[in-house]
Amino acid sequence: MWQNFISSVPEIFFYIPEQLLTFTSVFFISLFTLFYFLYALFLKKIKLRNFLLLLFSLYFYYKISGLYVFLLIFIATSDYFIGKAIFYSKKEKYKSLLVLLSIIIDAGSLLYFKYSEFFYHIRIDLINEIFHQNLSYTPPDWLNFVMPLGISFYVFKTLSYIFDLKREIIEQPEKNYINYLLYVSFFPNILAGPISKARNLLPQLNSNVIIDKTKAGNGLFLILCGTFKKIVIADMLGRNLVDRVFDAPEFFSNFETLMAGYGYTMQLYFDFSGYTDIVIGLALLLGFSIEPNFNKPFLAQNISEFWRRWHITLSSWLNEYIYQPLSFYFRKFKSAGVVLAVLITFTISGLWHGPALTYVIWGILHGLAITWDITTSKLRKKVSKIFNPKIYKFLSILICFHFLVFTMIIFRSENLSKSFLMLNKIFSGLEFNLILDWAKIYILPLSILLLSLILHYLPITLIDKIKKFYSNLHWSLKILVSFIVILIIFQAYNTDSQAFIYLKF
Amino acid sequence: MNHNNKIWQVFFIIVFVEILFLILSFYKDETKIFSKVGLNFYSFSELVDFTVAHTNTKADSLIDKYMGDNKNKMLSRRQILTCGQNKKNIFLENPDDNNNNYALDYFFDALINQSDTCIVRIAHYGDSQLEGDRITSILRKKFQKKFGGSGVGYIPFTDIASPILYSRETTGNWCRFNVFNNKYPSGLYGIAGVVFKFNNCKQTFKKDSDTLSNFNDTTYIRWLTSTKSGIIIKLFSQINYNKISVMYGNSTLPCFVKINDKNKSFNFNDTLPPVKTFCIHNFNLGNYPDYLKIEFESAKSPDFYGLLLDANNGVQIDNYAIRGHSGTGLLNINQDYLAKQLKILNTKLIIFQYGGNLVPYVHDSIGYKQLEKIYYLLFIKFKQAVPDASILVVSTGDMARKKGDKYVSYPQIYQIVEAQRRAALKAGCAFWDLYATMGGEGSINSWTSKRLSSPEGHFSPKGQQIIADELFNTIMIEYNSYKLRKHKLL
Repeated sequence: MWQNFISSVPEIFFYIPEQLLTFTSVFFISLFTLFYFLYALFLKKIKLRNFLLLLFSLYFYYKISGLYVFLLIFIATSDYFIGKAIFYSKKEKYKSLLVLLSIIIDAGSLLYFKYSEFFYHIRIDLINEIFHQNLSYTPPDWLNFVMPLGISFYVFKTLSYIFDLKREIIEQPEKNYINYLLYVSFFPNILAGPISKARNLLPQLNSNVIIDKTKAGNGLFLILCGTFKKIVIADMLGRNLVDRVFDAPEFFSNFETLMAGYGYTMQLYFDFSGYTDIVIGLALLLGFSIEPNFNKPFLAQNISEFWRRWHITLSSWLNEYIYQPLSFYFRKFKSAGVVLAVLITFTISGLWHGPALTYVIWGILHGLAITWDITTSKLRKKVSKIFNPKIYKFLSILICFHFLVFTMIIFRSENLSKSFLMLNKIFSGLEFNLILDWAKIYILPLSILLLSLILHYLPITLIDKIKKFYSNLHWSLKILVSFIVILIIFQAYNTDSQAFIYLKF
Repeated sequence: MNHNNKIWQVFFIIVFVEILFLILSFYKDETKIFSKVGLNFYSFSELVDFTVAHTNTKADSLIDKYMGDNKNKMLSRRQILTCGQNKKNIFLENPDDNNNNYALDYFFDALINQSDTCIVRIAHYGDSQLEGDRITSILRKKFQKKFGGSGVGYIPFTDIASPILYSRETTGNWCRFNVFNNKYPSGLYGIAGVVFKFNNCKQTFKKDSDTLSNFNDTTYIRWLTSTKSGIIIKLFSQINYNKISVMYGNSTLPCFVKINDKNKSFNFNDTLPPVKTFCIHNFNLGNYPDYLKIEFESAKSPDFYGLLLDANNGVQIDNYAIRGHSGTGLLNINQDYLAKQLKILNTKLIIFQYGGNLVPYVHDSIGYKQLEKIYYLLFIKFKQAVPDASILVVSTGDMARKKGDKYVSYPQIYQIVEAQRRAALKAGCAFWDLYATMGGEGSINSWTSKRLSSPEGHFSPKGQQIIADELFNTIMIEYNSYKLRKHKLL
């Protein structure tokens, strides 16, 4: 055993692409415990505390993306100095040029590392189509690399700093380089958000933090909750239902395809919101507050409302830095300008999620749905008066939820033809006579699907009460409760568990 | 220290929880308290095992052989497998009965002597690995290319899986009984282990105008009393066939059958006469379109076992897959009834490809012995039902489960494969070691990393192609040996 352990030491501490570091791994937990001890020792000494946190964050990112940690440092460093230059520039023109430089560096890195292959494929398609060639998709050596994880998230973080400086929402640039690098690489949210804006997180990094009873209790509670959501619900749904259908939809019945659509919608929500809970919980244990990312998204009555409840930090970022400037720019076209701004924003949102047509189509469909919301708001108001308000609300939620499920099928599918196949199956009739057969085999995912719906629709007040109850427990009871919850979670963990879905975006 | 600051308290909570788990990991090995209460946790050695799940050279060599498509890679595969010895078919055991008759000879004999005049059938039994015609459809194509034949073979009236070569729409009032999770009391199952009926059976979901409630309105359970039912088959590509056959039995009243194509360019009517036992009714339409609408009408539904779309000769492979099944349910099929069906259908090779659904649950010596015993009974049952057919047992493949941060093969798979091997050889069946073919323990990581399989062992279309190719080539190597042996005897 010890021989195994010793021989695996290099693999433990160095970057191994096949074995990414996750929050739920034994190695991360052990490492975090050691780090937390030192962090507690230096909590009052801000510079030391931040330096320690930076080292841990950079190491965490190194374990996940290897030498791409230098890309992160490069992007953060360039924006640190560009930020200073923007502040000290007197002329507006120079400020704009500096912002452009930052966009070129940040978005350029993002485009190169995330989208080159996608654009290469499009180029090959076009050449083959226009010039009747038969070029293969074998990528050249300069495209033979693995995408750095989390790049979409930290690029958006650092860009928000530059934009806010330019708009003077941030009055002064960050003075301390370590703090700025820490803001960009802050380990809890570097991989999959929430996308903290500099104006929210940087001031916290510069000040003393106190981890009081509420923060400590809430932090631990959120970590337990998030782990439960991820491992017991999202992973179990993924492994036992969603993956097998999405991998080969041609072999599954129409009914199963629909269930996989529901399953994926719930899986994605519980995976991502579980991850976010862990992130917010970890940050709270370190004394920092991070913006929430979800607010019961499947209670939304239309897609505009959905985006105010789902991945809130991304939609707020897109709204503030893309949609608003665009709609201002297109203001002379009145409502057509608004629609155009919405469609562009959501196409970018789709592309941000991944370099594939499925994401682009998904984004455009959401853009169209919001356009529908905007253009029919008066009509819908009139219609709503015909119905009983509760029935109208219920129907709106139901329709909105199903729009999400069907677009999630496109989002999750490997390619467009698979997503069309799945949607075609769903809309060409469901074999209700197979439900019992299906339920007998899928009793576990079906139960989890029902549990996920119940958990999602639980009133926030009830969750707050449970959170408060946990926070008020004596520390010895907190140990006991945490131990029992983790033991329960482990029953699901040791059979099947997947990497967090949003890591790949 | 600021008393409001609870960072040390948090630290101690984390440390104490970790210590509790550490203590339990020691106890797991010694007292097995977890297994007694049905709980699962790491042992200490598992807790500190941070090694990376590396890929497997044997698996990589097999995958390379198909991905790279070059001779060097095939050579490298052979070198890795044989360590320099020029063995052939190292994953297949084809035992003889000491009279120079090998297990697969019945099948090879039929291929040579019968495939020109009639259909030689292969029954491919399995679980979700095969459902929807996975692997089977590729094998079918290969066999039919080499030995003739066409059509898609067996078509169930309804199934939870969606088939790859055709689409199926039904009237929704079919009941499906099967040997696994919805048993048919008489045991008179069809060869696939299923029975379909459209009336005089309990249907559990859909409110249907043809149904009468046997319960109050709060339940969806209905006793079907419909007199009509139907099925529409649409073949996805141009697949030739010369025969449509309905497999049925146990009927007391005539059942009227109407068959149309899409444009209703022909309207074929026929009657399934009442029969007590298994029967195949062929319809000679003269026209075999890729769209078929078949309607049935009877006051009492016969027991239907499925449809067959075949050529007049050559080889046909029927896919008999039931999701979640381990194969043992087939023991519930009435022996005489099974024998009759296998004989009438001229099934000359039976392939059993099971085991995946047992892997997570069988992990001790008692389990392996039970598994061996029950599989032996299954193989012997089929051997006795059709003594002049060959049986090929395909072992379970490699499968993984998540262990902490990585996927690792179930450690018991080797023992399960060995139990399957012992059962097969004891019953005089041929045995193909899919587990070893894939690369043995840990190979699933190579397969999943190349997107050829999911960790739990369901092959992707490309993975299915590799498995079908390997299985077909393995059988063909034996076939060539058989021909050489026969040639020498002559």
